[in-house]
Amino acid sequence: MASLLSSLNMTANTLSVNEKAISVVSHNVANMNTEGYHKQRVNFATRNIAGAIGDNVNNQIRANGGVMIANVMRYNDEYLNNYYREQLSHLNTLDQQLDTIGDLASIFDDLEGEGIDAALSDFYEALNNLNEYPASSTARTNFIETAKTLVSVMNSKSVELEQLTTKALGDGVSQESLENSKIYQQFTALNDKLTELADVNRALMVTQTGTLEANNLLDKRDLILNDISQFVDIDVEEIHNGAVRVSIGGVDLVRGAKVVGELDIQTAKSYCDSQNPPIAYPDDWDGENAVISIINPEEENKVVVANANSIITEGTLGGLLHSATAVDGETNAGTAMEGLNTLAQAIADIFNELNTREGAYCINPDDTGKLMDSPDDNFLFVTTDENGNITTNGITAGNIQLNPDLFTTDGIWNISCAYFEDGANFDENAVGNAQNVAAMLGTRNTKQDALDGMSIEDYYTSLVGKIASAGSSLQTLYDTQSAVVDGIETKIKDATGVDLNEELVDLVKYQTAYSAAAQVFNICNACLDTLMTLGG
Amino acid sequence: MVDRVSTSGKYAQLVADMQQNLINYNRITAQLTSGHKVINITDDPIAAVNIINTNRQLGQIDTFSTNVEMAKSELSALDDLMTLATGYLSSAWDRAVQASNQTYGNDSLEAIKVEIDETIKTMVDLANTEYNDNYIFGGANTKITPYTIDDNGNIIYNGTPYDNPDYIRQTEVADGVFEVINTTGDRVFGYYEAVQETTADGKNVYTDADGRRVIETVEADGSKTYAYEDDGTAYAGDVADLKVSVAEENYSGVLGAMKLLSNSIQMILDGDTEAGYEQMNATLDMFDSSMRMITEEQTKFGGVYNRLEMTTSTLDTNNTNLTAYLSEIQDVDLTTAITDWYMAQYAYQASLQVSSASMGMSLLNYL
Repeated sequence: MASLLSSLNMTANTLSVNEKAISVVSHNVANMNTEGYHKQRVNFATRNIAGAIGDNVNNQIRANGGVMIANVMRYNDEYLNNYYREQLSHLNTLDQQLDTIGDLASIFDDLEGEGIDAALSDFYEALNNLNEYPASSTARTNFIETAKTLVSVMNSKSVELEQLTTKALGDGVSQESLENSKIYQQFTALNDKLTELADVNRALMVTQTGTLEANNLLDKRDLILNDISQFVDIDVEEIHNGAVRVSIGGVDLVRGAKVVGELDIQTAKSYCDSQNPPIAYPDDWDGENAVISIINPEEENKVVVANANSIITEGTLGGLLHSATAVDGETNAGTAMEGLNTLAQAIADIFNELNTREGAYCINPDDTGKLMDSPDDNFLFVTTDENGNITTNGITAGNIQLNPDLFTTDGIWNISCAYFEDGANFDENAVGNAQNVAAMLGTRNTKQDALDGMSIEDYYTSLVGKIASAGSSLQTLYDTQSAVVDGIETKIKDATGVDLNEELVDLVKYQTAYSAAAQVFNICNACLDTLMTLGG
Repeated sequence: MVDRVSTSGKYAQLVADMQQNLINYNRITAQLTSGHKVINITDDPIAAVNIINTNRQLGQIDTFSTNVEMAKSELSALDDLMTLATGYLSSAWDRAVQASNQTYGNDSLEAIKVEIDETIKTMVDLANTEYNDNYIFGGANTKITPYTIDDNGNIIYNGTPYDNPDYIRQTEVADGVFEVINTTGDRVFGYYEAVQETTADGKNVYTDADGRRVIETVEADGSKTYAYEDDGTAYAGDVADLKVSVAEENYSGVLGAMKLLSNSIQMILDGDTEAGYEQMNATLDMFDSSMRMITEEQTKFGGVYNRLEMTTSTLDTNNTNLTAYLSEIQDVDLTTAITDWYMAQYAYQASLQVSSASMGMSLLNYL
């Protein structure tokens, strides 16, 4: 009797266990397309009832308690997850770099005969024309106009490059431009994710492991960790019940339920001003336009790392932060800007020297049929210093301009076309002498020390080539990395995702067990009925 | 777990594969629609740099071709002018030979002198020809009239002299190769200048009709007074009748020869027959050397012209080769591209078909 009743209990329990198992299958099927969902599986275990002592068979049978749910296992592969996050960080670094280099490449895309290359060609063509007609006001005006085009193309390319950096990191000074930058959005989003992770950690710490609830929280935790690793390269260490500690470069960001390292961001200028002693900005500052620091909100925002830029090297944040810093051997917005600036200064130096050198003569504006000695300050390319004075020092692609004197009524005559190597041969009527123009034309093939031993145009082409090569190799790296990440993702999905066939098999399995248990219940019930009628 | 394949993993893989096929298909489509193999510089850095360099070289070739054409047309003009000059020189030379026979009377000599004087003026006009707003024969002094004839009949050359190496005008006909395209007036036409004698304190010396020396003094108010050198008395005659006392004559080339010829005829007409004919005979040699000089210049520029002709053909060949090269590195090879495009299309279609067929496959269909 006792045994029949226990069997009845056991089958009722079996029905309930299989119902729960079917419910887990149903949960799996429902979430088969949920991002980050890990398949769960009900693990059954034998249920024993106390009393099975010794080798008495009857006792042992009495101790059989049927089945119970041992736990709900979550399919997971921690090694793959960590590897995935690491590779995902790197993919995002490359993605960000590729984005920058793509913008750079479009700034320097001179394939259709536009941009600086075309402006340089036009400039030399105007010089060629001037060589034919050194005394012609039309040829001179044409030369000045093409030189003007050259400097304005350089100016606009410089502005585009600056905007590229400003778009990424702000301009280094204004808080408003920082707040409108890409990095600002990224850093805000990252801080939100850190808070979310701390919340999930807190919930995990108080939830029993091996339960549906804990598993769902772990899915959520892994999704957040993946999100965070897109921003930065993190180290993850499980501390308790699935709650994790997340750190970057050895500095903790989240420890259990607490965010102990929140990111803060400020403009380079405000960072420099806040240092003790203050750093002179921008003269003594060779870092990025934005500075990220790590502060601890648990300790009244105490600064943990004042300048964390050097430890944030990977992920979207790392890629963005370092997209504009000129580093030897790397090609990015910073090195492109440096290259353009070198080019601008070299162009100014070369043509200013030729225009003002000893033996060079321009035309006397008071008598355009006569030559006159070119004044020492008869520069072609200049810039304006902070005091508003014209100078030939510190010329960059952004500030290079034509000497304003060239735009005055008599400005066209300032171009020194004539050159007499031997002063004794000077003839003030020799306005047809174009030997200085020929020397200027000659710079087209002259290797310049200031330009790494290349001619002006070759230096520019080499800059374009560097950007193109960097873009091309980055694209290859990105494609490879993308394939790696896709591969790991598929692997993770294969290992931990829901497989419909598996679920359907399980479903049929549990359904069969359920039906069988119900049948056992009926039999036991019938047996009991038989027992009841025995006395009748 | 290693060999487990899940439905969601399979979906992810299918999507990644379809994506890859679509990227490939789009890339070839973009190449075909643009006609260019290299659309962004990052597509093929080496080709991109070559395209930029080749475009630049083609631009330079265009410039050089224009320069060569302009230089050739200026050289043609130069040659035509020198041919004209040799024509005038020959006819003046003929007159010199005729006159030096000493058989012509004064009337005939006078007529020859008039003719020679006119030829000198024509020759000066020739030497003052402008081409493209530049005086051809002025050397580097392209904006001032190369020759002027002053009141004393001096034929003065105002251009850069040939012995000043800075007379040249040159044009770039190939990378760093400059071709000189001008010569100077004094080289081709020469000049004539009678330097007036001056006293030790710089005053001009004249002679009157009797051959007495008259000194010109410029007063503080700019007016000029004339007085005899020997006794200091004022010259009372007409200033216009005074003759310049020539200290020395500087001359060269055909203009020098013609001016000397004219002067020698004047000497004969003035009665100084022996000295006149002697000077006339001397001019014959000058005509000869002038003729040789012009021919030499013509030959020199003929050589330059021929070189430019060769340069034109070199530039044309380079242009053709570079254009072909540019097309090779930049333009899409249609046959290959279309074949690739179809293949990419098939691959993409196949991936779509296989994906759609396999996505619906599960045990569900059989339960």
